[in-house]
Amino acid sequence: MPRTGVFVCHCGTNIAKVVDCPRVAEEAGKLPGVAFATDYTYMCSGPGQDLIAQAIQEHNLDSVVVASCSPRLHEPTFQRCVEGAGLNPYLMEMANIREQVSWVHEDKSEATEKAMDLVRSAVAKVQRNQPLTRKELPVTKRAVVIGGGIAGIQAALDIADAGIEVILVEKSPSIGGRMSQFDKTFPTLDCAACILTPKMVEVASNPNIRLLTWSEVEKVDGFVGNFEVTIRKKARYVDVDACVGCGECWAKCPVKTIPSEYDAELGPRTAIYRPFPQAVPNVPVIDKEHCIYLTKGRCGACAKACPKQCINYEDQDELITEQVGALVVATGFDVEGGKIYGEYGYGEHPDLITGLQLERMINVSGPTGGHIVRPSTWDAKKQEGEEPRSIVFIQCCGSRDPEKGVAYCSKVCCMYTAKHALLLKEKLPNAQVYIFYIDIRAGGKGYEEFIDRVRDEFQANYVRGRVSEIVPEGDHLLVRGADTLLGRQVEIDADLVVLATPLLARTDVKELARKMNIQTDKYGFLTEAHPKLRPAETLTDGIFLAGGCIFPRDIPESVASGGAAAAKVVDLLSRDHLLSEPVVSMIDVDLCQGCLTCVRVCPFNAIEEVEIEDPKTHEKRKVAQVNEGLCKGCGTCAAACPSGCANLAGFTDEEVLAELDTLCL
Amino acid sequence: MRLLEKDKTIESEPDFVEHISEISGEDVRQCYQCGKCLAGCPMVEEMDLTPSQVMRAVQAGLKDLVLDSHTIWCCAGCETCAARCPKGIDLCHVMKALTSEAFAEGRTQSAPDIAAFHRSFLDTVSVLGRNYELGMMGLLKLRTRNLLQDVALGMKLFARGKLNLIPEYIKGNAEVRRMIRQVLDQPRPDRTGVSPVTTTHEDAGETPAPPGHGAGEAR
Repeated sequence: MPRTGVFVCHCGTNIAKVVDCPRVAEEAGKLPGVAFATDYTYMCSGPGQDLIAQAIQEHNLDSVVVASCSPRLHEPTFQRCVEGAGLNPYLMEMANIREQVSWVHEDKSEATEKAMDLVRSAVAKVQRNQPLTRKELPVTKRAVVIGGGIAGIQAALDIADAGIEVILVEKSPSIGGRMSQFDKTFPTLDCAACILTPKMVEVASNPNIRLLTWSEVEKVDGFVGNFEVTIRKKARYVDVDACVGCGECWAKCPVKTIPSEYDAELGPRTAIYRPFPQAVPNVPVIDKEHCIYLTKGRCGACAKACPKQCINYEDQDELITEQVGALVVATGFDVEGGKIYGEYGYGEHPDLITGLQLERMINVSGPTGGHIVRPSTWDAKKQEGEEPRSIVFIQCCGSRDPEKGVAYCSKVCCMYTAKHALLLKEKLPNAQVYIFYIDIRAGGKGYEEFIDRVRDEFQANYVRGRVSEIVPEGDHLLVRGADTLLGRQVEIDADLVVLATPLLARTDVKELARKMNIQTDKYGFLTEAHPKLRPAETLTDGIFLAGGCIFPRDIPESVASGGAAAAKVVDLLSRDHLLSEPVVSMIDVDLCQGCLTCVRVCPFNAIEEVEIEDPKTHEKRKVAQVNEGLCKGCGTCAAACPSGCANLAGFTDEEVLAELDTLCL
Repeated sequence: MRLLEKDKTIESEPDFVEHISEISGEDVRQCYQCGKCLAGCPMVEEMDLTPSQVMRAVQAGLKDLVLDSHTIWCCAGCETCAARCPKGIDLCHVMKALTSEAFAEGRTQSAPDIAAFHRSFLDTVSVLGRNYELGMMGLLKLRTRNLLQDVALGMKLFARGKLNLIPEYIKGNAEVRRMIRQVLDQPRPDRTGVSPVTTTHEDAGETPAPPGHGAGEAR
């Protein structure tokens, strides 16, 4: 005969005002196998937990039902409580009489009846529960960080500083990310390179960091603490260890007109190139699409120029596998290229540029050497062009537009547009600067004051309203828009128009998310485990998120989230072993027919096909096997299995049916 | 920037905001268009542009829009907006700066009666060194050609001894006249540096009248 204890909680008046708790306890005491039943005001409080522990001892209870709130809130609390009193934590069941009863019902007598029903069914289940034990899993004390932007750099440095080995994987030839393209940063106007490049150098020199640039994550297998990551090291055609970045190769490269990704296609680069002078590593890469030798088999100018024989045209992609305990995804965002509004005509007029292009133009190492010019008048040979006198900025060029662009606010455009206005007025004090905006979103330390400064001290003309169209007229651009504060149409003759285009989820991140079994939202941004309480985690244990791959973020937020992800990784990898969650799928191989329905329905890729041999007949057959490290205990396989051999520990058919029987029979 | 109106296009004058900020002593660029001035203005029913729109138009350099608006003349100077403005701008100072601009340029057609009132007050004080209600009312009624308006009110005031029949001078009335002339005659700060007194009179398309004797507002 089981000896079950039932503990009914009042939750102050939360439950007690609708449910007659003493009566629920009294009735529960009459149920078969119930040895003790009582009620108390706050069961989760110290005295409440003591009451449970004491009753387990005194009445020699072998299972416990707590009738209180949702198990989402206090299941761990009461599991710890019964475990402390010597019971297996999985021999404790909760009956939710708050969210499912007192909060949703008014009639006291009917609510009490329902509470008693729920207690009865929980008692029936707990009396069939089997003790479950958590297994110890080993932990590989290494981590991979994917993405070498400011968030990934911060995460890698923080993990490395905790004494844990990190592999930093970067897709492009150099780390640095978006921030390396910026001239100054808002609102302090720190030079971006001055605060970023020391960190890049730190990454390169940190003995705990292995830097793999021009590399991509190909595959992620395994589970928390025990991942196997396959990385593709793309053919660079340059020996990274021997090269000193002298620059002889790219000086001699005859292909000189490829639009530079780093300069937002405003300037050219060569086929063998280093994206920017402060690149880490300071080693070029050959663009195999444009290299004459690699496409046509002749040229070889770079190989001839190289004093150290670093060029190897025979270089091949290489796949390496690494064992790690945790991963941080910091793959960043894309910037839309100005094409959302056809009526603006981006691409038809060179004086219509994006914010990122202006950023490069302002930068002294940018395509115009820091001269602000109308691109239509730029003479690359003489390095001169006409300065614009009237500059129009247009914010929300696709952001906050659910019809044609994206519904969300890209968050950084208000601030960087203000920064651009300030930097332009510093360089061209006599120019008129107009900024079309819908709302100015300057929520951040010193942000609103910065906007004020740009408007008052630097005399930027803020015009509230969107722009309808941009029409070339003579040698300038006619901008037609609205001033909604005056309720009127306005026109501006502009020499230069700058579009604040939306920040987007990277198009290739979906594929990466699929490989890692992590989720993306409707825009393609990666999804956190909880938007507020678990912002650095994913739903897959051991995989963490940082930076703009979650949502558009500015530099301080990206750095903070890189640090947060690193803290999570260090916490995880500093443990000697991990405890597995025992509520996982169990497949009875004797019954399994090998139909593999479960493999197809499992949302976590936790079930795989294996071949087993019958010990007696030596006959081989295929069956499904659960990887307990990956299984999340969702029960989909148990529901789908046609032969009933898949069962969820803690929720077996017998346990669940006993629960239902008490309610239905 | 150009403003596209139903029947005309108004070109913005980029320096206008600096000019008004200078003569009003208020930094008009500081306005961030929250609308608190409009929210509490007791005169708003009389206005064509709202007080916040006047501020916006000044920021945008739309001189012709503001100077021809009725709003700048309606402001009672009650200071409700100034007391509440989160940016500490005294809108009444801005409104007065705008009316004096409009006055000097002879652009009073949007509120000739109010302009006539200002003018009649100045004329009275120029002569006597202080106000003389009956005389000022007379001047105003002549200017507005509305002799019978407020007669009943005038009788009431007279019956209670609030109106003196005989004007009173103050000792230094000549000094006051000199001061008023000096203010009216002084060249206004101008963006181009050209003496504005003559240009504005030409702009207004009127024969320049001696300062202090009406610039054609009482048609």
